Amino acid sequence: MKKIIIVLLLIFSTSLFAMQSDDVKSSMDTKIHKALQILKNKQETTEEKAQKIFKIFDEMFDYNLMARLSLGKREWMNIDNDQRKKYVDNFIKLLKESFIEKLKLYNDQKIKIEDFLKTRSSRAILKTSIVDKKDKTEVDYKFYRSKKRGWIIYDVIVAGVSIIQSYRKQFADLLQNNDFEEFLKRMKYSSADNNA
Amino acid sequence: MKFFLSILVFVSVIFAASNVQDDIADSFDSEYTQEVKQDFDPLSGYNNFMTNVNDKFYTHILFPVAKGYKKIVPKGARTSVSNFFHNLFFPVRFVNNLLQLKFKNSFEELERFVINSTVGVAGLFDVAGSKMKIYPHNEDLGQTLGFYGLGGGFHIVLPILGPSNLRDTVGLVGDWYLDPKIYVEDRGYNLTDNDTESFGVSSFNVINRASFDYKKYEAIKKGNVVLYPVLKDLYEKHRDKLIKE
Repeated sequence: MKKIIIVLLLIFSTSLFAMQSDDVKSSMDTKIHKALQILKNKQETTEEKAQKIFKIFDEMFDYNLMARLSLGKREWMNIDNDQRKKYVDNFIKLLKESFIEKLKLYNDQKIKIEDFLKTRSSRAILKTSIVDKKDKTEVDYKFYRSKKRGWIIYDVIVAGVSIIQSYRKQFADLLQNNDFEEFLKRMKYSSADNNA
Repeated sequence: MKFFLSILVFVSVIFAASNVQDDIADSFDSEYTQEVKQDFDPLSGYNNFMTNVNDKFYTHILFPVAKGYKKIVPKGARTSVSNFFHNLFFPVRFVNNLLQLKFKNSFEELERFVINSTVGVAGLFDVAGSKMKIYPHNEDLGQTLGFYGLGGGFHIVLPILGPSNLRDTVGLVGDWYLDPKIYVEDRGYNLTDNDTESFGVSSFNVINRASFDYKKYEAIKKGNVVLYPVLKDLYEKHRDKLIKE
């Protein structure tokens, strides 16, 4: 009897901290609210605000999967573990720098959370929009249900453009003309040399 | 016995977790491989090159001028200039709304034009939008052609103007005949008297708009590694959205 209880406890303990689907919408709502409060603070630099926001949201993102998908299966299989680690590190850095640049555009816009729709048993989309005076930009977050971490994000679609798809095209472009080591270097953002 | 059991559970969980990661990734790959194949881009070499040229132009010429202009001219005035040119572009919106049989929208455009040109002092103030909640209905010839089913065709990056495609470039040229700030001989209305003045006025509009938009462009540029695919995607998705509404 004790053995069974121990085994059951072991199995269920992993899902204790996982995000259940009803929680996702309210959890994201809370986090986004916190993020907007941080953004409104005039005292701090964008960098400082961004670091705080990352702390809040890091647990919602599957950065490893995003990196892997942005590179594509073929290339991922071709590289060794050392290169994979460097690539993922660079990718996360690129992603976060990119986000910081977008934060600089913040100008008291409101964020509306619209809906959390399940598309399959283990896939869902959280629909939100950024509302300005005249424009409304749709931002969708694609979630999947991970056994260990519950519902986590693997793609963000801004104004209809998926960032994973976008990075896939860009990385494929770079890899056409450069070897992997060169590609790792050029992954740094803001490079006009990459347009050739 | 208990010890052995717990080791077994521990090892199998760890083992399963690492393998699952690869399998999970595979199941997502199929979401992304389809879109890449549909890209027909015969001018890609030229487009990449032009993106680069435009980028240098924006970074070294247009944006510095726009930033200087922004420092001197307060936001209210720049918004009024923006409103003025938006109002002037009325014939294009009006005709294209009609062509798409959007009669209510074309009537609202007419209302906007009349109200803003009179009460709004030659279009400087968007009284119709802010006070009366009559909002613009942006249509152009490219959207009209799209409305009637013409696909965008291949992507073309225009000098200075940026991303476009075959259909929208044709649309752009067509709209010039209606645009008051472009000088067209033998037309009933013209803002200016000749090509040079027309170019000056258009440039002023470009600089004024850039004073609002440069931040977005710089954010896009800094967040990405290769610029051309990003601008192209944003443009095409945006146009598809505009045509649908």
